Parts: sequence; C-alpha cells; structure tokens
Amino acid sequence: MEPAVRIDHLTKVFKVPSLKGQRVTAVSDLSLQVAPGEIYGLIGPNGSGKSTTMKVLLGLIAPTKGTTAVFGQDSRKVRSRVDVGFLPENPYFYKFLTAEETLHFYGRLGGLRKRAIRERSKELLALVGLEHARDRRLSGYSKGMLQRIGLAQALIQRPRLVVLDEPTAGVDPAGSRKIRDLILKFREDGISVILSSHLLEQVQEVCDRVGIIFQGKLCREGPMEALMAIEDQTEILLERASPELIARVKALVDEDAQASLLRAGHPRTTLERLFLEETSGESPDTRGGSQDA
Amino acid sequence: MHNLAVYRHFSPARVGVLARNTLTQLVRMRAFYFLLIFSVIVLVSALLIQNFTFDPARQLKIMKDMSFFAMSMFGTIFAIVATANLIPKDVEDRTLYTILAKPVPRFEYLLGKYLGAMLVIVLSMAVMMLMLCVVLYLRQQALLTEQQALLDAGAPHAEEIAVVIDELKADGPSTSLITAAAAICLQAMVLGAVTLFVSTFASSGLFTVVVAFMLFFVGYIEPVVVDYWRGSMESLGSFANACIHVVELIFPNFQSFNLVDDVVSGKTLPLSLFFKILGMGLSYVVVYLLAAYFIFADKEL
Amino acid sequence: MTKARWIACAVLVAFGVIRIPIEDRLAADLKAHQFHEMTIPDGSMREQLGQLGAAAALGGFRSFLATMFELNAIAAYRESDYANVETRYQLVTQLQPSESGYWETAAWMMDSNARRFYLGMDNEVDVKAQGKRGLLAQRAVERGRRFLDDGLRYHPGDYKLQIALGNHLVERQRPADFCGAAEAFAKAIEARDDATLPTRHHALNLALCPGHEREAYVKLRAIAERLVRGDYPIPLDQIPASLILHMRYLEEYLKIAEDDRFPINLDVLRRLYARLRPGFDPATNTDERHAHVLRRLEDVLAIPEGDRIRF
Repeated sequence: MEPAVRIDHLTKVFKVPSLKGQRVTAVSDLSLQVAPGEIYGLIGPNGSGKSTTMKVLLGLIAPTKGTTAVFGQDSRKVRSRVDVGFLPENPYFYKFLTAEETLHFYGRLGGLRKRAIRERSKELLALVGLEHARDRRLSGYSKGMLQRIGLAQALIQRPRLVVLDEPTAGVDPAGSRKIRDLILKFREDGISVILSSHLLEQVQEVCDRVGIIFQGKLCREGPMEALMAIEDQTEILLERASPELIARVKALVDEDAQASLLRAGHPRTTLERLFLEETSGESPDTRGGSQDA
Repeated sequence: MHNLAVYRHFSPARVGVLARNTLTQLVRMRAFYFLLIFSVIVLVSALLIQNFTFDPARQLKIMKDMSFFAMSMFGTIFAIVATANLIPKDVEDRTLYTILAKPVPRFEYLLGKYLGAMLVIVLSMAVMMLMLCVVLYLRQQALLTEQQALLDAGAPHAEEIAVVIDELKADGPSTSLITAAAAICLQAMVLGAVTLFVSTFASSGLFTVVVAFMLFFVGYIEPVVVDYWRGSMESLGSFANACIHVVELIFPNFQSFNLVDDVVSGKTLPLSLFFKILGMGLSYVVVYLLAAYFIFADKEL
Repeated sequence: MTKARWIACAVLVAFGVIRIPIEDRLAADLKAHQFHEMTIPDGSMREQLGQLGAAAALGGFRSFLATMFELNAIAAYRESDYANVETRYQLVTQLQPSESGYWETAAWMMDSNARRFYLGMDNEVDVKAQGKRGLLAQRAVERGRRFLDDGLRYHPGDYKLQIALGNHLVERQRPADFCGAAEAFAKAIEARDDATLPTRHHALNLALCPGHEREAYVKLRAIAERLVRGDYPIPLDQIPASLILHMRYLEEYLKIAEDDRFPINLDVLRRLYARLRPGFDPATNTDERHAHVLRRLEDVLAIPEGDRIRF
C-alpha cells in the first residue's frame, strides 16, 4: 500500500540574503513515512525544520535534494495536492469573507462543484462547531475560531492526508481540546495526519507515531509506546498518594542497592523529558542549522 | 471514503473563482469607493464648470476631457497600487499557503489574481463610461434644444447657429469615444501585468509601486523623445543609438494606447487600427504574465 | 540571479525585439490617421507647464491640460487681463493645435475682445496706458491675426478659421483686403455643404475686389433669387441689407440695363435703412462694408444731403 507521506533523503538549503551568499541548511537528509490512517507528530524546537519539511511536502518550496510524495504523487506536481488539506500556523484567511464564503472559495479551488460544497460546508461547520458564525466575516473571528475554520477549509475536498502546522498555537485550552478531539476523529475516519507541534502533551495524546526533529535532522522516530517505554525504568502510577506514603516509598528505594528514584510527579511529561534529552545534547552554537558558505 | 475532487491541469473555473475572490476583496476595500467618488466629483464639476465657456460645443469637450482624465487617473493608479499588493498581501497573511496547498497551479493563481484586479478596472471604467455617455447625451440634447429654439424663434445669425448645431451633433457619445475608453482600459491592463511582474521579485510593495510608476512614466515619454531625436538629429552616434535601443527594449511603449487626446478633438480611429492596438496590448499582457509566472513558479514561499 | 529570472529577462528581451518593429509601424499608422501629432514642449512652454505638466502633456493628458488652461484663460478674460489671456491661449493652442476651435477663440479674444478693451469701447474701466491705447489695440489685432495664421497652418481648410480670417481682413485690417477676404470665404465654402454664410460674404467681398465685379454680381444675384424663392436659411425680413445694396451698386457699376436688373422693392430698402441708421456711428464703426452699405443705401433712396451720415 502506498504510504500517505513518503519523504526520501530530503535536504533543503536556503540562501540567506547577505553579501557573502551564505547558505543555511534547514533540513538535511531527512526520511520518513506516514502510513495511511496514521497520525504522525513531528516535534522539534523553533527553527528545527518542521515547517520547511511541511512546505516541501505541500510543494510551496522545492527540495534541494531528495523527494517527497503524497500517496505516491510527487509533491512538486500540483495534482498531489488533491489529497492534501493544509492548516498553516496562525492561519489568516480573507477577512472580508464569511465562513461560508471561505469554504466555498477553498472548495472551488479544491475542484468541488457548488452543490457538493454546500453540503460539505454544512457538515464541516457542524463538525468544527461554527454553525452559529457561518454568515459572519472572518475579521470578527477569534484565534480559536480561525483555527477551526482553517481545519474545515483543509478538509473541504475530503483529503486523505491532513497537514497541520502547530494547530493549537495561540489557542486557549478549551479551543485546543476541541482541536484535539477533531484530530482524534480523523483517525476514526481513516484520514492520515501529519502534524507539527512543540506542545508535546498534545502530540503524546493524539499521535500514533512521533519523529523528533532537531537542526534539520530526524533524531528519533518510532511508535509512541516504543519511544516512551524505557527498558531499565519502571513507572509506578499511584492514586491519592499521601506525602507520607511517597516518603516511605522513597525510603524503601533508598534501601535497595541497585534501584534509584529518578523522579516523582505527573507521568504525562515523559515525552517532554525525552524531547529535552534529544534536543539539549548538542552544542548550542549550531542551533538553527549548519552553515556552509 | 472517496475524494470528491476532480483535478484538471488547467481549470478556467478555478481561475474564475480566484478572480471573483480578488474582485470581492477589492470591492470590499474602501479605497475603491474613494476612487469612484473621485470620478463622480470630476463628472459633477464638469457639469458645473460649463458656464465658463462661450462655445456650446466646447462644453461637451470639457466634459469629455474631465471624464477621461478621471478614468485615466483611476485606471493608472488602481492598476499599479491594487496589483502591486495582490501577492505581497497574500504572502504576508499566509493566505497564499492555503491557496497553493489546494490543487491550484501557480499560473492559475497569478492569472486569477490579475483578472480579478482587471475586472475591477474594466467594470468601473464601464460604469464611468456609461455615466459619461448618459451625461454627455443629456447635455448634448439640452444644448441642441436650446439652439433649435433660438433658430425657431428667428434669432439673428441663423447660419451660425446651424454650424453650432452641426458641431453639437458631432460631439455626442460616439464609438470613437468608446475606443478611447477601451484604450485607457487596455493601458491599465498592460500596466497591471507589468506591475504584477515587478511584484513577483520585488522586496516590498512600495518598491513595486515606485518601479511600476517609473516604467509607466518612461514608457509613455520615451517613444515621443526617441521620435523627436530621430527627427531632429539625422546622424546620432552609434552609442546613442544603442542606448535608445536598450531603452526601447526594456520599457513598454505606452504611447500606443494614447488615443484620448486625439479622439476628444474629434478624430476617428479606423477599427482595423484599433484592433492592432488591442492585439499589441494583449501581447504585452500575455508576455508580462508569462515572465511573472517564470519568476513566481520558482519562488520559495 | 536565479535561472527563472534569466528566463523572464530573456522572454522580455525577445518580446522587445519582436514588438519594436511592429510598434514603429503602428506609430506610423497612427500618424497617417493624424493621431499623435504631438510636439515636445519647447523652452517657454515647458516653463509655463512646469516639469510635471510637460510630462503630463506627453502622457495622454494634453487635451485635459488644454481644457484647464482655457478655463484659466477665460478667468483672465473675465478680469480683462489680456496679457494673461494671450499667454494662456498660446499654451492651449500649442497643447492641442489639432483643436481648431482653440485657434479661433484665441484670435477672437485678441482681435476683438482685447482690441475693444484697449480702445475703451465697452468698459468704464480706465485703461491705465491711456497714451498707448491705439498701440495696444493694434498689437492685439496683430496677435489675433497671428493666431489665425498659425491655426490655418494646422487646419488649412477649416470653416470657422477661414471665416474668422475673412472677417479679420475686412473688419480689422487697414486698409481692408476685400480680395483676400473673398478668397478666405471661398475656402470656407468648400468646408461645408450649404455654406450660405461664406457664400454670401464671398460674393459681397468679391464685389469690392477690383476686376471681379461681374463674377460677384452673378453670385449675388443667385443668392438673391434663392432668397426670394424662400429657399434660404434666414427669413426674408432679415435679409442682409448689404446683399441688395451691393447688387444695386454692381448694377450701376456694370451699367446693367434697367430691364435686366434684379427687381428690388424700394419699400424694403427704406425699412432696411431705417433699421440700420440709428445703430451706426461713423466714429466707432470698423466695418468698411457696413459704411459702404449705408452710403449706397443713401444714394439709392436719394436721402437729402442734410440727413445723410457724415463720414
């Protein structure tokens, strides 16, 4: 079966506007695949190459080396975009359009007929919970609402792959929860998702597989559970543990010759820990890409 | 689940959607109304200023001059300013990402944006032209009735009144006025394509506007100056000649679209010549859009 | 520079190479249809227009600028500032020489309005240069003539300009040039179908042009017959007196037999004389034809010597 996303040895070098003609390698030799129906999280700090990778995948920029493909179609071909829905980071749509007009516009661009769009936008507005604001111009929308109309827009032509760049950036917790639920619904519908985020908590909640990208390279990749499971560590999850009980556990561990207590706290930060491990090991002076003049 | 979309390599429908969207955008922008109000002011002032002249036929000329001036200004300014910001604004607002992430070829995007802006120009020109024709016709009829009444009342100088009547009859709305307006439109369209081309590689909207105005300015004056040099100085140095050729190559020749001055003074352009000018203008549009596409297709967004 | 930019440049240059010969041909075609006969604004004109105005003049706004400057000239006229009227109209006519009406108005402004003003004919306003009145008036007439001549160089067969020239030659020029006027009116006749006015003036002036009396008589008689038939754009009671009188004069001059003369009702002539006489002042009259007519009329009607106009 054709993978939803296939990225083969992708390298992207940008020319920096300067007198010396400096170049910055944003992505270097990156390969990854997203299976159909899979939700893939691409995580990394700012400037690590997440957005660049996504832009190449969408044909917005051309790869310097390597190839990217969506369901087997080369990203450089416009046709490959039929199967993609994209939500950029902090999306701004045409403020002079209403929600319904926006969906109509993107639906037509996606190649839908007017009637199909009418039905589909009804469906999507219900899905993202914007039925009440359908006739309002987007200039009056909040950030969370824009993000949701962005999602609806991305889904209009029923793409088999959805690309989400920081889908919850700047959205309040309630809004980001709604978006998370929507992503989970994609899985039910068999839609593949590739999303980038630095909100690790969320990635952990929704993704099947995660890739950690740093300085343009994919440093770790794997299924969520595999990444999380650490062979020589054991996690004990307690409920309603009193401080006294924790103190006693600590004492008990101290008695043991081999074992040591690493940490006591909320378990959800494991990915965050992993992330920090992967991204703080390198020397800080090469952050943001290597330079080869 | 099956994908609903049908993809075609070139789809006029998509171009149409983009054009309509741009039209909506520009129409919902206030600046557009401001320019229309400007033209209305000019038309109204054209009516008020009539009392100034003695020659009834000259009143009609004043109206035409004022209106064509308004149309030229509107067309030129709008073609440059509106087109210069089409792409930068989409890049800045990141709407371009969402559009190109749909199955939309970049050429269609450019074409759609361009056509949308041109649609605004053509539509408003048509409105202004209609306004001019109506006002001109009404004024012409009023003046004719006035002169005829003088004639019927047995006023002296009947023969001179007859001449005035003939002049008035010739100065009403005519097809040559429409060719002049069409030439203004065509000029705006060429200017729009040139501006769009500049905006594909410009670093800022201001840069685009300045360069486009310069191209327009030089492109207008250059043919006249070159003509003058050639006429007045028989033997130009080979260096000067080479310079002239370079200038001619770089700057579009906007003088070809300048019909207004002569049409207003009553000259008629043969239709065949008008079609040549039309062909010239459309070639400019096609070539500059193509050049814009080459740069835009390669652009890293 | 990226490859794409090179390609774009190449496309534009290639287009330039193709289009330039076509554009040259187009420019020639336009000139052949009297389009784009523009002139580069010369030194004094540039000065008046300013750089921006000069550029606008080349950029498709000549007609508009001409209109603007004419309004300016008319404003100056309303304040009897004829020095400015003249310079403004110079600009207007240079901006749009193809508009014959501008030349005609400019000439009329100078040889009629400015002249009258300097002579103090219809203004109570004190002309400051009292001692130079005549000189100024004469200069205004010359300026008017220059506008006419320049205009006629652009529009050799223009109806209005030829009529203006014809009138100028007899009404403003001293001594009057009847032959030249007749020629000018002849040219105006060619410019219009049923040009009754220049036809009449042509014949009237020809009557006073030595050696053309017989020709003039034939033409005047044809007009008179048309008038009597009612086939004329002016009513019979507005018949120009000059027509009948010139005819009568020519009949005398050419010694035409009584029976062959055009029958003229003396009563009509008496009414004409009564109409013309009160408005005539030999001190201010400038139209020699007018004086001529009245003198003939007095002869024909045998007005007693004491009642006649003293020239």
